[in-house]
Parts: sequence; C-alpha cells; structure tokens
Amino acid sequence: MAEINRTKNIITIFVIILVLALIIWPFVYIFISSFKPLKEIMSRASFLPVDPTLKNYQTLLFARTPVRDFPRFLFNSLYVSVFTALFTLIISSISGYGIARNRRLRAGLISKFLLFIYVFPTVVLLVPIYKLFTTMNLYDNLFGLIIIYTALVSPFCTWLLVSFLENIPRELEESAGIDGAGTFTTFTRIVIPLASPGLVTAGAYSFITAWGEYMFALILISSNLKKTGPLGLATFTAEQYIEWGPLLSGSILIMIPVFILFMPVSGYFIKGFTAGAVKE
Amino acid sequence: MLKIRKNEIQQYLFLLPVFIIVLVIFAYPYIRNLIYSFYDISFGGAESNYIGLKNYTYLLGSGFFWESLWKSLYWTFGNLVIQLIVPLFLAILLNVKMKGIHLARSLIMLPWIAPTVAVAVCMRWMLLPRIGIINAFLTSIGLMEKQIHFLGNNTTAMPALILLNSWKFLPFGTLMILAALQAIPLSVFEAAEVDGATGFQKFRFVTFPLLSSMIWFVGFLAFAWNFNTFDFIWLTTQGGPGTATQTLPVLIYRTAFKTFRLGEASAVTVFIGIFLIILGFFYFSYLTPKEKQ
Amino acid sequence: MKKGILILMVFALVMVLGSITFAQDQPLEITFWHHEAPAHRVAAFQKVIDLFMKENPNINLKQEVVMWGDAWVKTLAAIEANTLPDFQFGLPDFVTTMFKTGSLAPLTDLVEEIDEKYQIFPNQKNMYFYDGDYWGVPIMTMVMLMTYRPSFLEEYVGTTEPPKTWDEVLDYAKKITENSEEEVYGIGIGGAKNLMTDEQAYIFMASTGARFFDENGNITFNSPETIEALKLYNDLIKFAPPGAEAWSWGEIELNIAAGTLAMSPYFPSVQKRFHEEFDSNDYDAAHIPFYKDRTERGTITYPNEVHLYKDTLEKPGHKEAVYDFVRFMMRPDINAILTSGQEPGGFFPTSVAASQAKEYWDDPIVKRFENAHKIAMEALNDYATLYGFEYGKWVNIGIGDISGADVLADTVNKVVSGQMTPEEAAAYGAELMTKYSAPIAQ
Repeated sequence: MAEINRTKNIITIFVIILVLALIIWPFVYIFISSFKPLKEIMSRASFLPVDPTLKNYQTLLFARTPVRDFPRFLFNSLYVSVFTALFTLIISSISGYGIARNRRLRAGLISKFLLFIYVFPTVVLLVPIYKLFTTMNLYDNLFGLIIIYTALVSPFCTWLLVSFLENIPRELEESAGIDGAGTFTTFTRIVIPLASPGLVTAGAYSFITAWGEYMFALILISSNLKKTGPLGLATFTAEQYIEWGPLLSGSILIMIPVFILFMPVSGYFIKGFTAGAVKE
Repeated sequence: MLKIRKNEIQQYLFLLPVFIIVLVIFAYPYIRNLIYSFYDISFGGAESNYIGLKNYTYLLGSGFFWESLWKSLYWTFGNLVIQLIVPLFLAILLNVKMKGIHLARSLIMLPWIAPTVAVAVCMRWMLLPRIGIINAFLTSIGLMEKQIHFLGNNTTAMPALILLNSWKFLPFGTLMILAALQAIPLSVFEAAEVDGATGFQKFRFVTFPLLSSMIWFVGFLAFAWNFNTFDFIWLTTQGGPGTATQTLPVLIYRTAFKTFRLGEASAVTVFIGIFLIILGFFYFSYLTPKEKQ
Repeated sequence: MKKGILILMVFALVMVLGSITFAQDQPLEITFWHHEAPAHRVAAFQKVIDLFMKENPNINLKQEVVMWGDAWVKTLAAIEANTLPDFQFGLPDFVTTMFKTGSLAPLTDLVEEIDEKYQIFPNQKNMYFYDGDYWGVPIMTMVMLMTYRPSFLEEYVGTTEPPKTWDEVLDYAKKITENSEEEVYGIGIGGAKNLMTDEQAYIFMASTGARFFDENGNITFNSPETIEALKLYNDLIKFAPPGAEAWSWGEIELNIAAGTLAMSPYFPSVQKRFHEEFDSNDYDAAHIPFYKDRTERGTITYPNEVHLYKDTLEKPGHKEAVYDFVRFMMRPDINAILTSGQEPGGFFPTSVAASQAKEYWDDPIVKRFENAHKIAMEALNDYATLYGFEYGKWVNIGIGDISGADVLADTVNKVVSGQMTPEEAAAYGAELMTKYSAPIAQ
C-alpha cells in the first residue's frame, strides 16, 4: 500500500512539474532572452544567449530621461495600485456588508447583478469617461486612474465580500449589539477582522488589475512622467522602431512587484474564493 | 420597532458607494451611447444631425457587423470551452497535500498576473516564423513541416489567439475551482470510499456535482471577461489579419477611434447591450439558486 | 478709518504689482506632442529643446510623446475636452482630420517666411496648403525607397545592381527565394489592414500611375491602373515570408535585421541598427523601379509637420514662442539634429538649405550609407508624393478618414488573402472610399 502511494506521489509530482513547465515556460524564455543583445533578439531563434549582456536592464534602470523613466513608471503604478486596492476595500466592504446583512434584499440577486456588469464591453466607457474626467479635472491625473480602477474592480470585490460576509455568523454581531456596540464599531471590530481572507483576496485582485490596466491609462494620462508601467512599456513598441531589448527586460521588471506581492497571499486567495464557492 | 427601521435605512446607506459607482461609471456612459446612436455624430466635435434609426439599419444591412458578431461568439465560446475544462483538471491536480504545492499554486498564477501589454508583445515576437522560438521548436521536433505565422494566417489566427488568451485566464479559473474543491469536506470522500467508489466514480458522482455550481460560475465570469476582451486582441492582432479576429469590442474601437464614426459605434454598443440583457434575463431566471427562506 | 483704507489700498497695489513681476519672472510654459517614442529620438528632441531654451530662457518647452497609434484618439479627445497642447507634430492626413474639427490656426506667414529663407521643397509644403493658407510647417520628412541587401542580390541573383523595373524585381525575388531554398525571401511587403500596407501599396499605385482622386476630388480608385498595381502586389507577395499578409512595422524590421529579406520597398531607416548592432555595410537603397514602359516613377513621402491650435492663440505669448521654436527647428544646423541626428534614413530635411547642411552629411551613419541618402534626396525632389495629395493642393478632405480606415490596405488584404480578384477589390475599395469621401468644391 505504502509502495503504491509512493509511486503515485512521484507520478503526481512529475505531472505537476510538467504542467507547470508547460504553463510558465514563456516567462522563463522571456527572462533568458532579456539578457540577449539586440542582435540576437532580432535574429533566428536560439534558446540561450550566446553573448549575454546586462545592457537591456541598464537602459531601463539607469538611462533615465525626462520623457522616459521606467523606475518612475513602476512607482506610478505602485501608487495607483495601492490606493486602488485601499479604496476598493473600503467601498466594497461597506457595500458588501450592507448587502449581506439586509434581510429584505435578495443578496444573491444583487451580487449577481454586480457581476453581470462585467458583461458589457468596457471599450464603450472610454469616450464618456474621458469627457467626464476632463470636466472634473481628473484628466492626466493619477488620482483619476485610481477612481476609474476602483470603479472597475469594486463590483467584483463587492460580490466576493458579500459571499464572505454572509458566512460570518450573525450571532457574533448580535451579541456585540447587546453589549452596546454601534453598527460602526461592530463593523470595524468584529466583521472586518473575521473577513480578512476575503479582504486580502479582494485587495490583491484590485492591485493586480490596476497594475496591468492599459486602455484607460492610455486615454487618461498624457504627461510623460505620469505614465504607468504598462504605458511605459508600450513606449518601447513604437511603430517603426520596436526596442526589443528594453521591452523584454521591462516585461520582466514589471512582473516582479506583482509576483512578490502575490506569493505570500496566494494561500489567502484560495481561502478568499472558498466562501464564494460554498455560496454559489 | 423604530430601531429596526433605522437599521434598515443604515443598511441601504451601506449600499450607496457601489451604487454610485455603477451609476456614474457604468450606467451613464451607456445612456450617452444610447443618445449618440441616433445621431450621425463623429468624434472630434464636428456638427451632428439626428438621423433616427439610420445607424441601426446601416449596421443590420452590413456584412461586417454580423461577421463581427459571429467572431465574437466564436471567440467567447472557444475560450469558454478551454477555460472550463483545463482549469478543472489543473485544480484537481493541484488539490493535493504535498511539500512545495504552495509554490506550484503561486507559480501557476504567473500568466494571470502578468500585464497584458507585456504578454501580448512578447508573444507576437515568440510566434513569428524564423525569429520566434515557438516556430523553431515545433519544426525542430517535427510537429510542423513549414514555419507558420500563426497570428498572420486567416485560419490559424483565431485559434492561436484563443489559446494565448486562455493560457492567460487559466490560472484564475483554476484558483476558483481549487477553492471550491477545498470547500468539499473530506468526510464526503471518505463516505464514498467506504461505499467502494473508484477514483473516476468519485470524480463523476461526488466531486463534479459539488463543483458544478462553481463551474457554472467560472463559466459566467469567463463569458463576461472574454466577451469584452479588447486590449489583448488589439495589442496582438488589432483584429486582423483582415477581419479574422475582429470581435465586437474591436469593431467598436475601430469604428469609434479609427474612423471616428461615434454614432455607428454607439449603435453597435446598444445592440450588444440588448443582446446581453436578453442573455442576462436567462442567466437570472435559470442560474440563480432559488431563495431559501 | 480713512487711513486704514489707504493702507489697505497701498497693500493691494503692492500685491498686484508684485504678482505682475512675479508672473513676468515665471517662464512661459509651452507643451507640444510628438510621436517618436524610442529613447534616441526623444533625446534628439530634448537636445533641440535644450539648445532653444538656452537661447530663450523665458520659455519652458516641454515635449510629450504620444504614440502614432494613439495620436488620432488622443488629439480628438483633447479637442473635445480642451486639453490640447500648444502645438503638435502631424502628417498630411492627420492635419486634414484635425482641420475638419475647426481647431487649427493657419501658419501661412511663418511658412512663407521660412520658405523665403531656406526654400522648402514644394511637394512638402503643398500638402499643407488649402484655401489660401498653410496649415502646417513641414519640419522633417520620410520617404520610402527600394531598400535591399547587396550581398543577397550578389549571392542569389549574381548581380550587384539593384532592379530598375518592377519586372526585374519580380524576377529577382523569385530567384532569391528559390535559390536560397527559402532561407532568404525575395521581397518584404505586408498585406495586413494597417498603415504600413497603405504606404507600401501606395508605391505600387504611384508606379502604375493610379490615384485615389482626380483633380476635382472625385474618386478614381476603381481604375485599370489600380488593378495593375494590385496585380503586381499580389504577384510579388508570393515571394515574401509566410504570414507577411499580417505584418506590421515590428515584423518587417525584425525580418530585415534577421536577414530573411533581400529587398523591401520601405523607409531606409534600419541604418542605425546596421551601424550599431551589426556593424555591417550590407544595406542600401535604390530608386523605386519603373513600371513597364512608364517613364515616371512613384513613391510615398510623409512630411512631418508642426500645426498650431486656435486655443494657443488665446494664450498671450504662446503663438510667438511656437513661431520662434519652429524657426529654430528649421535652421539647417538644428534641423540636422532632428533628421540625421534623430534617425538617419528615417527623417530627411524638408528644405533645400537643410538638405545641403554640413551637419547633416557629417553624421557617421549618413556617411556610412551615403548613397541611400543621395537617392532619398533625389526621390524627394523628383517624384515622391502622398495618396490624395498628388495635385499640389487638397482635393478631398475625406482623405484623413480614408487613410484612418486603411481603405487601401483593406483592398490589398482582400486580394492577397485570395478573397477577391484585383478587379473586385478595386471596386470594393472605391465603394468604401465613397463612404468617407468629401470632395472640395473647386
């Protein structure tokens, strides 16, 4: 029996490694290629660099101009993503709590409606949002991006938190109510701590979405130094002059922060969705 | 009694933030679009006239609109099939207790957390004939005789793009199904084992039914996200070659921002809106679990 | 009480005066958009800006990069929302689109002044002439030539002479593709629905003498000449690498650099890479070949211009500052920074004076590929035109939309993908053009 289990284990490990390799090899290849000189990137494919160089990274990190400053772009993305996550958490936990605790509302229906919003193409929002934001002085303003990203992710995060909050026993809150705690205190002292896996999930989800978003940033940001990471990366893909070297190294650099953030919370992520899984 | 009333008002107030967002960021643009669709308005402030239903009749009479609708359905359902089946197996595979499984679960998320711009442009390079590694690899192992420009060929562009996009979305579905798997109590499996169920039977009669609501749900999300995928297609093929990958969102973007016919683009939008609302009606009436009292 | 008011008034006066002097000390903020994102191009612009600000310390000039693909959207959106820069770089079809929105200010006096001083090539400035006014100042220009790799011609065709007629091109392309066993392809042309195909296909139209419009702006696209051009394109693309039907700029330049293309009607702009990355002389450019027994050649040129917005006129001092900067950019020694200094082979001078500037020809990359530059100057002087602008004036203001919708490329795509015969495609293209056409009543 133990013998069978061992071979079974080895097979499982083997399959997992194989599947992982199949899924993440492009990143390995991009990473390796980011050390190739342009000459090799632009010639016939070979897996390993013949003449490895750090030039691609140097261009990005040290050759900074007033127009292109990649570390600054990443910092802008960080700023936007952190605040998007923060605002999303505030908005969707409050709304999610409202939905989850309202006896008259059919929570399932409302949270489904929140998800249904995502069916409508976001391309359509570009023009009206642009006009709206320029009149509100939110054009070419990182804060404007934070607002739009918060709006884009908060329906999903609200849904996530509704299913999570519904699983928190009402009795806990009711006993707090008996002890004289107001709604607000109950919310911050009892509900929020219990919902932390859901909050971490929602936060990470909004961070990741904001980090990679391209369309709205493209339309709403104009100044060179306000560009976010994806916009900055896109400047390497100029129509008649694609800068392959920095493009590859930039693709690696832009993934590192999200990956670092994601690694420790990926366990929470699964827990965060489990509540939704039970509910649905 | 009064206390309850007050509480209820409070509870509605709680809903306010997300309600405002939905109204301003999502509903308002759609209303604007609805109005635009009756005008021959063009982007850039030139004068516009009320033309009634002309934008609609033009669209319905044109071949390209129906072609895009078909491309959209092809794209959405092609993605859906892959994004439902593969994550299921990935999730079952990763649902083991083992050293390092945590790392494996994190690594598998890479395609999903990588920014679209980075993935799209790098993939364009990797898929090229001669220069790209994928062609080199497939020909060297003898799977292909001649190198193919996958994204540049009318027959391969759409399937190639679907594969790429699915690859990017797989991790998310995997994660959600994995979450559902972990929510199944072990006792259920133990009971099945006592009854003498084999591995497949366990999957067929225990796991799958318990997962089905989650699969439906992932299916819905995948539908929503794929149906309005824009940046991934735009950054890889721009809807080409020809109109091979021109789904409805790409058509809207092209009409509004390349030929500046805002009225026409808005009519497409309204059309999609109606189509989706009908779809949503079915979704709400058939896929919503009955309310438990 | 009175004393108090007096003190207050004096105080207010001091404040007002103070704020005026303060405002005077504040340099004038001028922002412009251009579309050249690569680092070395941005650096070239910055160099010009820095030199200009040294001479004009009261002006604070700022460049912002908007990628070409986004330029239309961002500008139109900015017009609607009043967030335009002071001036912007553009192209003829771009300018017609912006002209239609009524947001441009004429630059006639400036163009005439510069023309007198440096002699702007007539072709280049005429593309911005309409209704008695100039709506743009051509600063630098682009031109497509027959670029080729001499070593491939020698190895697979056995000649060092570039082809002189399109029949020869076809013959060479076939030989190269076959003799190299598809290691090298004869020709690099694309067939996707994008601007690159528009541009390359226009060379063929210009070669056979086909036009979008007649002199009155009526659409004449469905003509025997267009059909011939489409046929030739379709015959040639068979000797392009697989998937060329979907190429964009990235792909064609990768292929030129990777050595999979022997010839390509394209901008001779890959010089910097041959110089810096490969240290190779194996890259040259020749005149566009003749089509059959025609004695005229044809190619495409794209004058990159500066246009001014009406909004800018309302801001005191801004127009004058923009004028000064344009004058500065047109100075032959400065202009060379934006042409050969920015992208050798990518950008060429627009004036006689600048085309003779020592600074231009002294650039090491220009020196290395000198022949290509001489040919480019000849082509610019002799036969380079642009679709819709062949008559030295605007004839159809719908050209911006026609090129925005990539109608020519769409037509080509229908042919090379086998969906239509050249005859059907020409009719199809003409019909599409009617949708956008807006002839100018003469």
